[in-house]
Amino acid sequence: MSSATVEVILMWTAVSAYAVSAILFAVGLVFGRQRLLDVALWAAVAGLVPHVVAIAVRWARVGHGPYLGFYEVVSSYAFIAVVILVVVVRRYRSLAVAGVIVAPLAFLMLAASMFTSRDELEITATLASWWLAIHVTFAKLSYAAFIASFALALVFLIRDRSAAGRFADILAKLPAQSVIDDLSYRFIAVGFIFLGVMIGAGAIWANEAWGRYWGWDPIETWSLIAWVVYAVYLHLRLTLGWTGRRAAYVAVAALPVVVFALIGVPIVYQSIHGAYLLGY
Amino acid sequence: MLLMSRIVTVLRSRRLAVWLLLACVFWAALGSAVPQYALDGKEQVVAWRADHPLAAVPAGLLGLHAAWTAPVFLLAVTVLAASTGACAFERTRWARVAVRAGARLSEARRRELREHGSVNVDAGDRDVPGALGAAETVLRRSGYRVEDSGADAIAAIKGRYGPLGSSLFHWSLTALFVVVALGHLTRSEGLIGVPVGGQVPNRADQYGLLERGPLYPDRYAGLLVAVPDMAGGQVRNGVKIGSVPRVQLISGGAVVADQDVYANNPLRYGSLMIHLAGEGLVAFVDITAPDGTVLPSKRAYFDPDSSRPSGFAQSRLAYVGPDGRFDVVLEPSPRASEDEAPKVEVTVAGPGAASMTTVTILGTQLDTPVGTLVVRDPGAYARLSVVDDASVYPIYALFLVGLAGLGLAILKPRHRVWVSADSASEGRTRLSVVTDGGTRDTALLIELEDELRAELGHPVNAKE
Repeated sequence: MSSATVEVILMWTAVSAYAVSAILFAVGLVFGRQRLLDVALWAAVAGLVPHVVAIAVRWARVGHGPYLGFYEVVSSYAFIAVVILVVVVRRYRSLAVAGVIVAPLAFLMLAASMFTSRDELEITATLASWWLAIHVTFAKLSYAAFIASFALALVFLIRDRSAAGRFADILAKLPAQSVIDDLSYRFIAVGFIFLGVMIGAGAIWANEAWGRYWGWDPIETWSLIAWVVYAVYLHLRLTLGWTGRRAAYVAVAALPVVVFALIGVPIVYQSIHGAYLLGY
Repeated sequence: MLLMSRIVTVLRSRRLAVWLLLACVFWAALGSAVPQYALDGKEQVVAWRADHPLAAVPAGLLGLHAAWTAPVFLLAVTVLAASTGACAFERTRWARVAVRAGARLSEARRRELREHGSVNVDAGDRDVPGALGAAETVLRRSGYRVEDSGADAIAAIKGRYGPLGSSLFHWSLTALFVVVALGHLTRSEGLIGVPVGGQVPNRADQYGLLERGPLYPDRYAGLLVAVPDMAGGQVRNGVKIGSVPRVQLISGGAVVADQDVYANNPLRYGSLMIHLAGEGLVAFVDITAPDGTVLPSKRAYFDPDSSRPSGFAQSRLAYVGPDGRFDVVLEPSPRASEDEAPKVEVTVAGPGAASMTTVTILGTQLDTPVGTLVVRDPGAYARLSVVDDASVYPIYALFLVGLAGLGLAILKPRHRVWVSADSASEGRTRLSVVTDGGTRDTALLIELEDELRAELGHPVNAKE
């Protein structure tokens, strides 16, 4: 059996595990069963195992990490989103309900990537640089942090509006709203730093590869837009005292900017930079 | 002075900062949605404007097709830079006070603890020193340092230098604005073609494309750029990197820089950076006018173009002859076989000459309406991108400093906690906690309460 076949089998196993996890999270929330939420988390962890092995198998075969082409990029973001969910829930068990948002996202992302081309793109002369690893690593860390903050902000808002609704029982078990709000802020704060490193590393790399550190390329521009949007969040929170509901709304509204910068821009705009997602 | 003071007050406004940031975001989104002259080229801009006649009007009025140098954007960025500087100044003043202040037990804090303790925890049978000891243990475990203590209260701090982080970050941002602006004013970037085996002076007239800031000092005009050789189809560390020219910089007859140039491996000399931007064919064109005037020899560059029969694009040379201006357009002719002598199609046209198109063999004389023309010495050339930007390394340094400041401000923020113990209530000791964020620090207070309750042997709140 070729390593490509092994990779596909492992990925579909991960997709299935994330699907089971997503269903269990949803059922656990609807019927207020903490036990089901715990099992759902274990299903997500079970999905991580074949997922990471599949990534490793492909890495060994193609000679580079998961950062070239839609399939690799989206698959790795699905992976890191689930890792963040597991890390957060280990610290705050009652936040397992956030899996209702993260697990379906991870399932959809990984499943979608399985239907795209799995062409094995080569490292080109421009990509052959240490800065690629730094740029991509911090990109993934930052976007994962923003996804986590989005999920927490959404949980905050849902509970804020549904305190007396059908999910009241399970929502009542969540940490205090101030804790969720604070956690969402911390993820944004860390994501902001990581995104800054990503942008800086990208600029240094661009100067090495192309002779200019900034060219207002659409991807560069939208990465900066995402960074400034989160700078607005931090200003609103830290200097104007926007916490709780207002901060949560901003955190929820900010994520689409990040998603557009990562996935939308390469699709909408033609640029040399977009080759990492669409191939070349 | 009053006016300056008012301006500074406005610039320091947090709301102004937020609105300016949002304005920049909005402008950047608009700018990325329309073609740019610099990035996409004039043709794309013209085509877009023809396809979007309604949107073209406001886009043109606002200068959106040169979004990053439009007056609207430059004004917003300038005000943002000034605002950042004003904020940096204010934050520095606050940071100095905050770092010196530390955590002290003042009478006001003691009163606040007695009357408005944000968190109150029953310490049970422990006496006051014992209860405070438990509190101190919890605080130390959470990374706090007790800086002041009395018989019935302690004051602790963590992240003492955190306030410096915000100040450092804003100063580095302000400096970044200035350095980037200065960099653009003093920068030079251009494309220069150097025949393999030849050398070209680093002068403005030798560049095909050149952009220079108004204050560019032209410090490297005396250099010669040479390409002694170029190896094709190179593979380095398992990666196909294509052609690799060896590039030399020569000053006063001495080679001052010499290395292979390819992606991620540019040649550096002072503030100069040279990359390989492409390659193609080159030939030299000599014209002797009918009256015997020898016109300056020119280099004709032919870039790869798969849409042309020969695989190479045309090269257009402009001349001023005795009878006026004329152009010579050359294009390599496809060869029927390798044995066939290389040929080039020559077109002469212009107000100073009668039109003519013919094919000539390289190295042979061709009689034209503008005189005798010879296309000679065909070879390869390396198209080099030459950038002179002294602001790059200061920008890198400011980026690192800003990152350090941001990390300090966000990851090590200052928190101060005051804890008092009193045994006034039914012989049981009570701990009261206050933080410098007051009741806004809810998450921190919950965390401290849970930790204190755990340390004192109480069940922790059911939520966690």
